[in-house]
Amino acid sequence: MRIALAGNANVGKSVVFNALTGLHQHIGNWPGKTVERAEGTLKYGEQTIDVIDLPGIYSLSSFSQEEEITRDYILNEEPDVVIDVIDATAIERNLYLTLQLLEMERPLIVALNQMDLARMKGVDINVKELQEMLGVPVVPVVAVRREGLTELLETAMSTKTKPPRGMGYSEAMELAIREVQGRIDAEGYPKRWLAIKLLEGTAPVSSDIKDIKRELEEKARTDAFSYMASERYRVIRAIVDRAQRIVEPEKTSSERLDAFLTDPLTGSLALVLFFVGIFALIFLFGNLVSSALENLLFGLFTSDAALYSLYEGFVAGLTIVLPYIVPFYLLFGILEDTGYIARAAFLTDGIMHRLGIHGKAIIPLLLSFGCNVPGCLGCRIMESEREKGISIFLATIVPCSAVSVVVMGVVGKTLGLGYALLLYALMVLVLFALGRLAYRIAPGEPMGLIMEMPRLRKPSMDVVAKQTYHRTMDFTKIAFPIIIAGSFLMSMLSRYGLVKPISDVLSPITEGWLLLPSLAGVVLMFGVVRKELTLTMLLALYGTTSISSIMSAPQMLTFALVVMLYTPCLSTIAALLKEIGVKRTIHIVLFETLFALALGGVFARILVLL
Amino acid sequence: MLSENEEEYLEAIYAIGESYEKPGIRSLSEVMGVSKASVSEMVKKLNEKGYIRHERYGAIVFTPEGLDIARGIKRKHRLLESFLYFLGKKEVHDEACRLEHGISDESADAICRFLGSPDRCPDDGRAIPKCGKDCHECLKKTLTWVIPGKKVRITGTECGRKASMRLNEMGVVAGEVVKVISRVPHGPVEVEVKGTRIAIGDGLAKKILVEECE
Repeated sequence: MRIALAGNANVGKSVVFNALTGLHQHIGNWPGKTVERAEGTLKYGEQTIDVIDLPGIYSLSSFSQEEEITRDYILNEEPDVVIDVIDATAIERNLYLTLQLLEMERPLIVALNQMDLARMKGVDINVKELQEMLGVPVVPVVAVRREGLTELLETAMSTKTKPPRGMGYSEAMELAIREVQGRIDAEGYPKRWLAIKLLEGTAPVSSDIKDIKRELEEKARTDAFSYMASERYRVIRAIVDRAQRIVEPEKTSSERLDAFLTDPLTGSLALVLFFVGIFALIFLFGNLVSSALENLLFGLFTSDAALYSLYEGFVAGLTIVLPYIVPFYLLFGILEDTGYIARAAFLTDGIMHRLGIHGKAIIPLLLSFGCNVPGCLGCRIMESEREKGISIFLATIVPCSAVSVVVMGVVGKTLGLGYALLLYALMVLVLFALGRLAYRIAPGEPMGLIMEMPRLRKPSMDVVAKQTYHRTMDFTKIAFPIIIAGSFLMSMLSRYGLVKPISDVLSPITEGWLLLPSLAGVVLMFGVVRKELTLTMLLALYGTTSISSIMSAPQMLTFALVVMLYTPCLSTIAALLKEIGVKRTIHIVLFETLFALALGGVFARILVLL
Repeated sequence: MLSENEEEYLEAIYAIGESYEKPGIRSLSEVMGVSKASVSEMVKKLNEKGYIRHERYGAIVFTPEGLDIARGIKRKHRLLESFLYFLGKKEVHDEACRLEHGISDESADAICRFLGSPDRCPDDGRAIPKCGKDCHECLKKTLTWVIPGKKVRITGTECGRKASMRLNEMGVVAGEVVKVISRVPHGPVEVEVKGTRIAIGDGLAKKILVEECE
């Protein structure tokens, strides 16, 4: 038996999923999509039940990947039961999706979650009445306390056969629906559903019903989609009026905290403190653990066998995953689960719009200063593909802590902090310029911010821990082979004496165009494995500890700039592959490398002139 | 830049012209309550600066530039009078006279919008010069105008199809009463709608039309 969980974002759907499936879950991506797919199994009596957690959505108008996935899954994969998880504290908005699910004519159960919170908020719901009005079973649950889950499963087992009925809309609307139904071939879709979708203009297929639609729009004196939306809300209003009673709500402490966190003044202050804290935690802790791990694992044994480089690659991967990725996923999961991310986005949306993206992108961009990998992975919170693409691109440009080590070591130490800061200022300019550029050329239509501000709540550590585990494993599977193969390749190059020949091949670029010493080419190549290698290798190759004996001041600045801008490191590339696929990853890597070389050469010439 | 005194003269010339008289040295000296000699001196100065034209012993006429400035100051003066009147003040003229030189055009426009673009001054019933922009466009109330804590009714949206569909799904439909929770200056607006809270970016919020309700 297969159960699909559907529902709005922030209704506790993943809590229900977790409570149902426990440790038997698998989290991956939807085939061909970049949306997380969570599946799990549970044993109930004799039965094995597969549970799939569909992405959180607000409607089925198929504007986003999430909506398309949900629609296609329900229609094509035909789960035995769809459980619509709705938030008891806001049924009016939640039922909008419920009505659309009803129209899809699959067996449906409504799980009325967060009943406890609703009671606290002064919302009293008459479950029986609601069930009668909707025509499908309604089961109250409190997922965080595992209340009502058995009833939910019992109901799911017994509702298999009865497909629900749709809702009755206004006369004009019903007439239009009937007319469309009479004209179309359902092509395997539920006919009424397809008729409504065609009228709304959000159907997966097209059909010539313009005249019916025009007639309806004339009657309604608005466009068909808005009319449909207001009709749905009218029906919902009627349901809510009978099934819900509002008693005096109390101003809770979470509301006071919310007011504090969204206030432009106190909220901004809290935001800065939060991120300084997270930075300090991830990067101080990360650097410490990372170097300790390196010392420990490299200290175990050394060898110059070819296979040793595989071990080196493995250690390199480990020193990214354990100290940076795990704490990042953990903290990020907590922030996500408490609802704080929406507050941060709310505060910074105005500023971030100058960069061509939504406020939500502030989080991945700030994280990128520490390490680009969590930055790129964090871009999954962006709601549209377009926004995600732009922010992930910008995230890979932000100089990470390894790059900062190089900038400080090459420029800061010898030329002074002022010059290093100058380079950072230049990077910010580049970031803004490329942000504007990406805003113009990225496919898709830009859309202003429309974001739910979920209620602040205590994070469910159960959900967070499981998510962290699954996401880490997922990343490891992609990143490790790449990092290990990359460092193996690089060590082969130096083992077979290819460093010098490669430098010579690259010298037209490094010496001719960038005006750098010839060995810089190899160093930059090795920097792809880990950016800080550019500095350590450079010193090692020349057998010195002083950078000023290798390069002149303009060369140092150019070198640092190129390191800041050129290709993302292997771990970041792995993250990119996971998040945006092969094609767009190649685009980003190529663009950034060429851009770094072009800008570097121009920069070098300007420096020479000065 | 004009001095306050120069602005007062331009304003006086405008006021005299409004009552269908020909502004001259004598009428100006009466209105301003100063000697003809000092009026002559100022008129000469303004003539040189190119705000007015004055033939010897003839009437004073505005240059287009001078008229603009005079109208602008009179507009500010009468808007301020109306505003002070709205606040419950009785003697508004002198105070408006002092404030009119300090207030920016933007703030004057904001007062105009706040008062619903009044045509006449409540003090003496004289016409308030318009700013030249489309009043209808200006008076349109959007979500960005709502003070946090207030409830408003959504009357419609002027944004793209996709955005308005998204808004519909989130509960923002025409006729819906929403409560504005908070707002970041030049940033998003947070509203409570159908029991949930959503944030709407500045650009979009400017395209959501609202009307006040109770």
